Amino acid sequence: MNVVVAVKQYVSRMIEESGPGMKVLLMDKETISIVSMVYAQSEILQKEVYLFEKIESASREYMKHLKCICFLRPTKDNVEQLSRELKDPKYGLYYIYFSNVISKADVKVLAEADEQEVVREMQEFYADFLAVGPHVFTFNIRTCYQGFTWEPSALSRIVCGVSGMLLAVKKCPMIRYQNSSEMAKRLAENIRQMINREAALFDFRRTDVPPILLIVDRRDDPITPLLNQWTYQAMVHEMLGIKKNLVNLAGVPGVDRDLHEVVLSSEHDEFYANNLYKNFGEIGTNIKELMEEFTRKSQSQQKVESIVEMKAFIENYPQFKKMSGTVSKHVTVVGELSRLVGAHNLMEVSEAEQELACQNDHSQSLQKIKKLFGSERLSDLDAVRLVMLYALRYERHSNNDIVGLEEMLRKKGTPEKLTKMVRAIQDFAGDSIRKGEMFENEDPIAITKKFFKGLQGVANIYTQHKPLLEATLDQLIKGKLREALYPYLGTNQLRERPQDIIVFMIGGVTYEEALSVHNMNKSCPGVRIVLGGSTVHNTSSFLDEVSSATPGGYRSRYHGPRTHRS
Amino acid sequence: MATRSLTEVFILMRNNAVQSRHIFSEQVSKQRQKSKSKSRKGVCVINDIIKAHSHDSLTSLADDRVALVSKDPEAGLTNSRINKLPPEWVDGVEEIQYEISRIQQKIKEVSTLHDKHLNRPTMDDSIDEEHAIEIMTQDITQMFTRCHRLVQQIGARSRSATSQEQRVTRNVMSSLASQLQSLSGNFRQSQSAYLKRLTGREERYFEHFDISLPQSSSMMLEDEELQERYDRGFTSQQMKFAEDNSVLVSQREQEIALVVKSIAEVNEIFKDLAQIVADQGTVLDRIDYNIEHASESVKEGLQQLQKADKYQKKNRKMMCILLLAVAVIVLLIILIWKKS
Repeated sequence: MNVVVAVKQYVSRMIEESGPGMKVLLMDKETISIVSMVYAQSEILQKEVYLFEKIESASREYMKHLKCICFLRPTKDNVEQLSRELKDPKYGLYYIYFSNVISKADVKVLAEADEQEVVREMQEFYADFLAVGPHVFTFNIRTCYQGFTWEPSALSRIVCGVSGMLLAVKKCPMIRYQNSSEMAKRLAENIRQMINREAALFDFRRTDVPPILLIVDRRDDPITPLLNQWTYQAMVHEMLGIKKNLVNLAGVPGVDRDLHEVVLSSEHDEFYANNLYKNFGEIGTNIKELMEEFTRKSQSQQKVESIVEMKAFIENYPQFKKMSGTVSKHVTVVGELSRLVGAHNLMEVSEAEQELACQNDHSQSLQKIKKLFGSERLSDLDAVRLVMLYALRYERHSNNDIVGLEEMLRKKGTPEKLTKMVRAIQDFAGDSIRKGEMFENEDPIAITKKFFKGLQGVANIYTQHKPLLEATLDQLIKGKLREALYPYLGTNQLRERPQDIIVFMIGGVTYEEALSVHNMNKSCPGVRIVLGGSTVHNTSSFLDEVSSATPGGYRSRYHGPRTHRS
Repeated sequence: MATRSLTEVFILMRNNAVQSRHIFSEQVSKQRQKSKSKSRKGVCVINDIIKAHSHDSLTSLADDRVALVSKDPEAGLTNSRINKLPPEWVDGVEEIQYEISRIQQKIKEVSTLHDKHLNRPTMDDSIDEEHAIEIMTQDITQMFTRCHRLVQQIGARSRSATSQEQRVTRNVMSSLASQLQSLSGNFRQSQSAYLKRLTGREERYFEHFDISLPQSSSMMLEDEELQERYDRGFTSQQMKFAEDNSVLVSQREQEIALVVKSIAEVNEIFKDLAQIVADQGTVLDRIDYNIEHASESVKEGLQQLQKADKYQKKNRKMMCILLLAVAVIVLLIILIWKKS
C-alpha cells in the first residue's frame, strides 16, 4: 500500500505500452500535478517522452513523428477538448488513459471524433490523487465545507479520488465513518454507491482480513492544525508553506535567485527523505554534518592536477553537483526557519500552545498568554492562534476570559478579520460539536495515564501534543473503536483486528498526523495505514477553510508564508 | 494497480460511427439523386465513389473529378502538413541510441575481458589480451566522442526550428546527455577498478616473488662499477644504448601526452554534457514548472524583442539628432566663413 509507487507504476506502464519511439505526454491541469508529484522531468525523459503539454494550450504544433500519450481526468471539458484534438490530430498516434471511470457516452463522443483512426489504446488508469508521501495522499481541495455541508464539486471529486485510490492499491474495503459528522456519512454512502456500481472493478482476490476505510471529519480535532510544528516537513509547511512539494522562498531576505522556488520531495532528495520527520534540533546537527561532508568534498574537487585526480573528478562530478544543490537548498530553508523562530519568539509561543493543548491548568495558561501578549515579537497569527486554542480548551470553564483576550487582541491592533476567527472556530468545532475526547480530561483512565506521564516527565515540551487521529487509529487497531461513535456502513462487521487501514479526513490533514501515521506504520508490524485528506493544512490554510465553513468569516489573500507578516 | 481497458469498446464504437457515416452519406447521395440536383461539389469523396458505382455515366465521372479537385483548398494544406517528414534531427537521435546500445555492449565486453585477464592470467600470451583491452577502450572513448558530437549536431540543426520543436530537441538532448553521462561514469568506474586490481596484483606479485629489488640493486651496482671503470667516455655500445633510451623516452612522452589529451577531451565532453543535463532535484526538473513556464518564456522573449526593437529605434533617432547637429555646426562654420 504505497501510493507513490502506485502512481509511478501507472505512469511508467502507460509510457511503456506505447512502445519505442519519441513521445509527447498530454495532460490536464490536475494530472500534471499528479505526475509531477512522483516523477521528475529527467526521469521521464529517460523513457523517451520528450515533450510535455497541457491539453488546454492552444499553440501546440503539428508533430506527426511523436506518439501522444494522453493522461486526463474524465471531465466534460477534457472529453470535449480531446474530441476536438482527435478531429484534427497533431501527433501520430494516440494512447489515451483516463484517471478514473469514464462513461460510455463520453467514449462514444470520442469514437465519433476519431475520424482518422489515430487512437490505438484507451484505458482507465486510476491514478487520481496526489501522492504526497508513501502513505499520504491528498486532492488539494482547499475548501470542502459550504456552511456545514459538502461543497458539491468537492464531494464528487473526493468520491472519485478515494475510489480511484482504492483501485490503485487494489482494496475493496469495509467502510466506517464518524457518526457525529453528517458529511462523513454522506461521503461513505457515496463511495459505497461507487463501489457497488463498479462491482466488476472492485472484485479483487479476498484477503483474510478485509481492509478498512475510516472516514473522519476535521471538525472533531481543530487543535492539530493550530499548533506550531517542530518536525522538519511540518515546520516548513507551517512557516513557509509547501505546495505540491514546492516551497516558495521568494520572500526570504537575501536569497539567491536560483532558490526562489525549491523542491522538497522525498523521492528525489535523499537528505530530505531521511530528515523530514526529524525535529528541529536534529535537523541542525544533520545539516552541519552535510555541510562538513560537502566542504570536504569540495576541497578535494578544487585541486584537479594529476590524471588520477582528474579521473576522480569526472567520476564524482554529477554527485558533487547534485550535492551542492541539496546543501544550498536545505541551508537556506533551515536558515530561514531559525530566523523566523527567533524573530517571532516561537519557542515560548509553542510552549504555551502545547500547555494549552495537553495540560489542564487554566490560570497558569492564561497568565502565560497574557505575558506573551506583552511581547513585541508576537505575530498576529500567533496571538490569534493562542486565543483560539484557549477558547477551544476552556470554552466550558466557569471563569474563562475569552472576551477579555479578544479585547486584548483588538488593543494589540490585530486585524479584525483575524480576531473574528476566534468566534468562527468555536462555531466550527466548539465543544458542542466535538464528540471525540480531544482533551481527555473526564475519563478516569485518562487521568491516571496523565498522572503516570507526569511522573515520567515529558521528553520534549514542544512535541507533547499527539493528534486525536493517533488515539482513534490506536483503538481501531486494537479493535476497541466504539461502534456508536464510528459505525460500519452496511451490516458486515469486522471481527478480527484490521491490517490494512485507509483513513480519510474531510477538511484536510496535517503533516503532524502524517508523522503519527508514519510512526504507527513503523511500530505496529502487520498493520499498514494510508492517510488521505482533502488537502494538507497549515494554520493559515486551515483558517481559510474554517472561514469558508462559517458564514461571515475572513478569507486571507495569501496561503501560508509567514515571511509576509514579518 | 487495477486497470480497465476500453480499447475494444472504443474500436467497436468507432467502427459503428464510420458505418453510420457511410450510411448517412449514402442516404444523402440518394436524396440528391432523386432531386437530380447537379451541384455535387460539397459532397465528400466516399460519397462520390458510391455514386460512381451506382451510376457509371461519363458525365458523373467528370463531375467526380471536379468534386475531388474543388473539395476545399484546406484539405490539401492539412495533407501536406501531415505528410511532412519528421525533422532531420530525428535520424540523429536514432543514431545516438544505436550508438549508446553499442557502447553498452562494448563496456560489457571489456569488463568480461578485464575479469578474464585478472582471474585467469596466462603466462605466455597475455599481451594479446592486454592489446585487445586497449583497443576496445580506445574504441569506446571514440564512440563517446562521436555521440557527443551527434548530440551537439541535434542542437545545431534545430536552431531554425519553431519554439516548440526547440523545446523537444532540448529535452531530447538533455535526456541523451544524461544517458551518456551515466554510461561514461560507469565506464570510468570499471576502468579505475580494473587499474586498481591490476596494480594490486602486481604488488602482490612482487611480494611473493621478491626478485625485483635485489636484481635491480645488483644491476645498479654493476652500472656503477661500469661507470667507475669507464669514466672517461662512452663506448660505442653505450652511445647506442643511450640513444635507444632517448628514443624510448620520447616515445613514452608521446604516449603520455596522448593519454592526457584523451582524458582532457573526455573531461571537456563531460563538462559539456553536464551543462545540457537539467539540474536534477531543482525546480527546473519539475514537469509542471516547465509546462507553466514554456508559455511564459515565449512571452518574455517577445517582450525582450520588442524592447530591443525600441532600443534600436531610439538609436536611430539618436543618429538623426547627431547628424543634424553636425550639419548645423558645419553650416554655421560656412556661414561665419562666408560672412567674414
